[in-house]
Amino acid sequence: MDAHRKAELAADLDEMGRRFWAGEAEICRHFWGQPRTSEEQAHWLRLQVYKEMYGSGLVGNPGGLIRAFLEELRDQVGDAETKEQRSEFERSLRVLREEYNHYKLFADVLETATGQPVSNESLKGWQLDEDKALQAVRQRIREQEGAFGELAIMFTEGGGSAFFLVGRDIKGDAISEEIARACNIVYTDELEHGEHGALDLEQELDSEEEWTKARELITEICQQRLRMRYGMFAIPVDETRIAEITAGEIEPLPVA
Amino acid sequence: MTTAAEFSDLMAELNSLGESFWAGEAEIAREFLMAAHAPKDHVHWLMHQCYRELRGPGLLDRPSSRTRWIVDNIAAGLPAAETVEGRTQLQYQLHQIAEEFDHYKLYADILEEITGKPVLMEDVRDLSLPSDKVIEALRVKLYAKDARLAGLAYDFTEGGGAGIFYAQGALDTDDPLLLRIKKVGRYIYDDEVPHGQHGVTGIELALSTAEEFPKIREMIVEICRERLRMRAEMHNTTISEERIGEIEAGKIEPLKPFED
Repeated sequence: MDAHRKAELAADLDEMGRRFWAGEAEICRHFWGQPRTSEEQAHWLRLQVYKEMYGSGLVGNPGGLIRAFLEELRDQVGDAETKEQRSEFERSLRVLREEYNHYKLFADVLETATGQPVSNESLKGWQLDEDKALQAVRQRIREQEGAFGELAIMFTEGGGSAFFLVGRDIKGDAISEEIARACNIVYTDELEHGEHGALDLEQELDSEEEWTKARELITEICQQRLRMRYGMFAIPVDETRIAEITAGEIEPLPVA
Repeated sequence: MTTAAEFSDLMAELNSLGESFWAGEAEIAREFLMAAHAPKDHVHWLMHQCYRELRGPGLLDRPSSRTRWIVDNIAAGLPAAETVEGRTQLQYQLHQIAEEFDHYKLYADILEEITGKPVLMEDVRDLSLPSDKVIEALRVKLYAKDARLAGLAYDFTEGGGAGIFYAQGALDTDDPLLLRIKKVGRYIYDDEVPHGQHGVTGIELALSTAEEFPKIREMIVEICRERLRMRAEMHNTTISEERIGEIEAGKIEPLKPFED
């Protein structure tokens, strides 16, 4: 496959992704477009805290994303003996700190909203059905498609940070301001992850068939991401709108 | 009852004492760095600094370390993640560990360039100097004597006011290796200096009576004297008891803040 065609397909996929991210932003704006009670905010915050702690199936560790990172680091330090290994360990530490910081930001807001500590025991039960379904989609793709599926999963990770992009602009009360502050920090961190996903695809995919397959997998994950966003805000899932977004009936989220 | 003015004077005395010892550590490092050396002569102190950067946060296993605290917390089901205070504590510990590893990496990368070999953990792990063992024994003794005051004294003396990093960062040189050391030293100095200030603030907040002052002063002097011996040994030299006494008595210029 020549470089020109590859670039064309990559741009096409990038635009498709940005339409789905715009769909996520639309759902977020719908929710935050009116004043919300602390309990309404707590509903989505619980899932967000769960996702930050457990990674929604991004890693296989039953103890969660943060614990997996911590355990990995403990095992890794003994091997940090060459320049490359030290850089790898440093990178792992940076990712761990970033992921933990995201957890902390939302757990702190949730505690403000509810006045209750974020108990680890309760947290385990905060995953919503739509997020479990998203986790199952990812897991099936991972098992069936291997490294190829992993590329599709990475491309969709974070949903282009649309959720945080919208969240960082909300205002009106103390909790909204705290949410906006948290979203602003995470938005900056997450953007980088999305860019990596797109770059990886361009480097790895070499045939029309592979690009078509990647498009199908990404569409499936992104559709389920939209259902997850509806569920997160306790809004009934609108399959008609999901079909419209899939058909491109939405302006792509602008490139940051 | 100690008045605010008296208390302020006591703190100033403690700060001045600290500044003399930090300058003492810088003097030892500066004398070594300014003398003519082949690159391989730097291996000894670099290896020991690598050991210290890893052992400090517990990345080389040691009891009561940051890493041990996190590992134990994971084993207990991560209770720190449940409260605002616990989450902040965990965030702080992770930040500190990352910073110390960053410092380790900076020195280890220089070391690898000098030797052309990886910095093996098995070579670093057991590097403690005889003076390190003395320092460790002193820590046990002081904590047994008064754990609260010892904790404050160790917070105050942690990193020796970044004196050796100051000496590296202030090098006036055009030697390529020393220029790398200068860059690393300055970078770490800028990271470490706020830690020292944290220790001073801790003492200011925690000491409520003048009676505790001589006790903590005595502890700080004991720790700092041993730290000077350790820094000398690390740089393959010795420091006379006379010079240690002079430093304690303030017969040394305090470190001047970097102007840039």
